[in-house]
Amino acid sequence: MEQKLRTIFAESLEIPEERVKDELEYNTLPEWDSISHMSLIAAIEDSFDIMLDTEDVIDMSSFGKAKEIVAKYGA
Amino acid sequence: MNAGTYSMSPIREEHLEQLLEWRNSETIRSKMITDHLITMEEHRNWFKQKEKQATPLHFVFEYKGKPVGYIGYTDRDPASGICSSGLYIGDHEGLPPTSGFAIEFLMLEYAFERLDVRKLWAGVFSFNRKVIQLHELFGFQHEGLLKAHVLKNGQYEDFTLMAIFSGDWAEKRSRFYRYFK
Repeated sequence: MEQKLRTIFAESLEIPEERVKDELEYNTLPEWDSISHMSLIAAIEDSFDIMLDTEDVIDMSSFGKAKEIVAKYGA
Repeated sequence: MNAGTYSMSPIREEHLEQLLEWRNSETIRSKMITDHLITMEEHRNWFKQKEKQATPLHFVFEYKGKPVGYIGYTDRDPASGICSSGLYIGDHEGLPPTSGFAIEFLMLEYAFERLDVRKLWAGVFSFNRKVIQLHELFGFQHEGLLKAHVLKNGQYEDFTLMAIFSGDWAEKRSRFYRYFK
């Protein structure tokens, strides 16, 4: 799951996979703002076939947090 | 018009200074066809023209009542049911990640529900990948590419044309509305 999620982040945010680490945080890099966050969420939902709760969309503030959230959905 | 804690309100005189600051910022200006520094006089003249329109077409995008961006409609042709649209978030500070959903959602909702638009189109610089992806997510289809079309920063940039029909929005809407219920 982690590698799949890493690839999603890299492709959605158009950054190298090497930059996708747990510490990668929303709104700390130009590539990841509220506009690109939506593409990221959609890609995660489609790829893992899940529907994220609004609270989880808001809480997904880092790659590390994203792993925890996606794991909750049994992915 | 509201979507949860987000809303859009017609531009008023009190918004002009903030809007001009955002519009003239490098971040926003770099993605606009018109990218010269707009003077306050020019900006006020623009507002005076828009204020006369019977139907509001220019809005501030708000989070908990505070203006944080802009949504606007141009090239409106009621006979053909078409209109073009544009948006930006000027102040990202403290905005939840759902704000990207919200501004696009409200832009589409107002166009199709209040302006009775049949087809909404948008022109986006091809290098503006984030906005193109956002439009794609909400159902916009690519309709054309104007190659080497606009001179910006010394080179001619490609310009992507996208559009969405009212029926397409009706299908997509429910996927995103759940974030604001």
